Amino acid sequence: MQELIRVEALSRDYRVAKRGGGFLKFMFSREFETIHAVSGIHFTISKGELAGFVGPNGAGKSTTIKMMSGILVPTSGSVAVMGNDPFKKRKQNAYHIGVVFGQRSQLWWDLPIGDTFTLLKKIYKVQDDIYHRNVGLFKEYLDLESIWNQPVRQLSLGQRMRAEIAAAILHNPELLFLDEPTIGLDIVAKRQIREFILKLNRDYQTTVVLTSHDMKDIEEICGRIILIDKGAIVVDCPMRELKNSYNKTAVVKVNLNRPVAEFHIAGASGASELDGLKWTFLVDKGVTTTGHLVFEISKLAEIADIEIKERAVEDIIHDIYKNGV
Amino acid sequence: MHFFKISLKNSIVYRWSVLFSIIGSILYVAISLMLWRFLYRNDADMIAYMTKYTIVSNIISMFYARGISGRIGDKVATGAFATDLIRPVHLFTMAWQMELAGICANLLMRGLPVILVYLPFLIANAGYYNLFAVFLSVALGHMLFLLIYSLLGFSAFILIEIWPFRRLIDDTIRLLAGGFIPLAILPAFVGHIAHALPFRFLYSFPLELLFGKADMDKAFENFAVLIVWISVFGLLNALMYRQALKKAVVQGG
Amino acid sequence: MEFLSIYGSYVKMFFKARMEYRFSFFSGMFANFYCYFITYATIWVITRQFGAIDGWKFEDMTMLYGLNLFTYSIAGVLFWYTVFHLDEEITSGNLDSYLIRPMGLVKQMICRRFGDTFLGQIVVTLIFMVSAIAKIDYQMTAFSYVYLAFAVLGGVLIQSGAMIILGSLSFWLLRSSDLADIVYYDMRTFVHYPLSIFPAFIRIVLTYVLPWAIINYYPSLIILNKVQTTEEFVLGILSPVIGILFFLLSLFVFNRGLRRYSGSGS
Repeated sequence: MQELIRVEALSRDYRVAKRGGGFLKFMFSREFETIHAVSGIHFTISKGELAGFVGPNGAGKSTTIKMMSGILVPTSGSVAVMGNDPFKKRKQNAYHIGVVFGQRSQLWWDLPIGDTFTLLKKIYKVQDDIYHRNVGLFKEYLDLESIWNQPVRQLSLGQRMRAEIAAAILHNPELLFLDEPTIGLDIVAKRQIREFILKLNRDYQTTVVLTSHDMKDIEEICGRIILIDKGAIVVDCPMRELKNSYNKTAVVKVNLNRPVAEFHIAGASGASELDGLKWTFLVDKGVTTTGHLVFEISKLAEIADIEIKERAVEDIIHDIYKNGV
Repeated sequence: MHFFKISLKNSIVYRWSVLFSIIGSILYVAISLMLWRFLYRNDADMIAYMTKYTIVSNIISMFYARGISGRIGDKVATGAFATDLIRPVHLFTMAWQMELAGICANLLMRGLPVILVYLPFLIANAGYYNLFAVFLSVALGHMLFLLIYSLLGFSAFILIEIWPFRRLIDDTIRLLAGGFIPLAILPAFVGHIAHALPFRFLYSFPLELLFGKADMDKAFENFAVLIVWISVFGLLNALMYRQALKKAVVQGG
Repeated sequence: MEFLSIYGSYVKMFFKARMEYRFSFFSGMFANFYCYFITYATIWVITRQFGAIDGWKFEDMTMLYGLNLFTYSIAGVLFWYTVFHLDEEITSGNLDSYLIRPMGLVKQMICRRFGDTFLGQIVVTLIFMVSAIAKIDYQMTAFSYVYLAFAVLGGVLIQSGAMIILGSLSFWLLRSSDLADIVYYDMRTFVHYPLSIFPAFIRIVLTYVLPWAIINYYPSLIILNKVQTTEEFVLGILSPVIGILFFLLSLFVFNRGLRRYSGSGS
């Protein structure tokens, strides 16, 4: 697998003026303190990967993305994107990367979307045939046809985000950075965007680095999850592994067609309601499986209704935020 | 009162801002002084007169705050002010309080330094008259200025973008209110226009009173005219406000 | 140059979109037209009352003020809304968006917002300057016209350089507008008048510290045949060269500031 991004011992510090103190102090002197936004992190991202960065606010996600996209220079350590220093080779790399900032717009506020794309085509020197192909793609999969002639100013948030993503990939970048791309969107828009990103990855092997506070985004899109907290990497593993290693329990709820007083199933502890008609089981996946539990229940009664809840990635992450690894 | 205090605090926050503001004011006055000094280089009395005239004019300008057109205008243009109706304070009063805070901050930050720096010029050749009448005139001038610009603010529901019209008023005042060039120096037909407009009460009138160049017989007459102008603009404000309200409430902002 | 092609496309698109708000566009232009019309009127009133300002008649003053205003307006069309207000570009996050693209930042900012409101100033200045030149036509030679073009170029470069440098201050200070107001707007007010009426040190500051006098004063001296010293002549003739140097300096300052913004060598 070709390595696209390599980050080694990456650190980034900020000097911030100290607040507080009286009026005179404010007028005549300033004290500074150093904030370690990112401290010595390591990772590599390969071509075609879909990597998700999660972490609490202020953890260092945005800072890391800025360093990878060449906006910010590391205080120490190194970052190589497509073999280049992203800051030094900013313009060269720019042809191969696309960035979407969820909370800000890169589009021209007063111009219609169509015009914006024409300008970007010129700026990125996109060939005519590729341009037309991409525009066709956008119109079909991102519903841009209906808003093609409307100025960005008049678009709803959902429409604008779709346009932002389109703008970011107009030039077929190999690498796509998405910083909170679905923030504030309704469920339909979120799904549409998630599917589109997956399609990009499938059809064009676009490498995607995604940050989001919406765990569903991460869960549905990313094959790999990296958790950053207080400037350090806490978790870095494939999504499957995260689910498996932290997903030690499942909750199974059943409605039976006739009451059962007791169940004795290894690895499953149950509690009943309605005198044994409804049961809730906590399954220890180290001992047994949900499938086996269902098999055992069916021996004693027919299952009218069943609900199986795996621990969501959101819950896993939440626990890591609170309790550590 | 609340808005006054908050706005006052906000105005003094950036320390460099304060310093630069002061320098800017002093500089602005200095350039005008040097100009008049040159133009009247053969007339020492006129130099003294124009020096005092320019400095006091600059101080008077600090009592007039145009911000109100923006404060009101932004809210009216978007219709947002309709939601402010829930508050117990009228939009005009709120905006006015904020402006007063700005004026106080301005006087403190810029007025005081200007007075201090140019004190020698102000004290030499002292010749100040009718102080009470001058204060009254400036106070009424403040009202007049306020009402003109708040009217502009309320008309935002028609104009949407009011800054071009604010510029038109600002610039007309620049030439025809007597703040920079005393009306006596203007050519005849320009002077006639200036006398017909209400703007002369902002600068020309109080300055003439202050330096004893006013025709005292006409003083009462002039105050009467000033009060008429204020009433006219007050009325126009009320009418415009009603219209703006109607549109906002009907259209839902 | 492909930049010109991009800029051309952008300007066309800008006007197409702007024209949907015809009232706003024309009222903005008119406000600017009126504002500077009043300024010319003020100068006219003064010259009428005093005959001339140190030998500068109304037409001479028109040339002097016109050069300043015209060059300012052109620089404003390009730089005022974006580069000069760099602090807003930074806080809005636009700067990061520019850094992602394969194009120079200043170029991108030129293509971001066309300063259409400055067109009013351009129109009013052209009117007054053309009529002034018509009146003093006996003084104008072919050389004068050629030189005037170069002086305008030099002036535009200096005004642009000023906007870029002062905008770049946002990379270091949080709010650069107050400093810019004094250094650029207030200090430049001196050159509305012939510098000979002010104490000598003013002229020296406005030539060797803040090059605003080179925008209009020295070129006016040459065009109006008012040159009296070698220094004045040299400064006037070299104004395009000084303009280029100052502009390059401004780009250097901008790039320095950008490096600081990115945390490189801070």
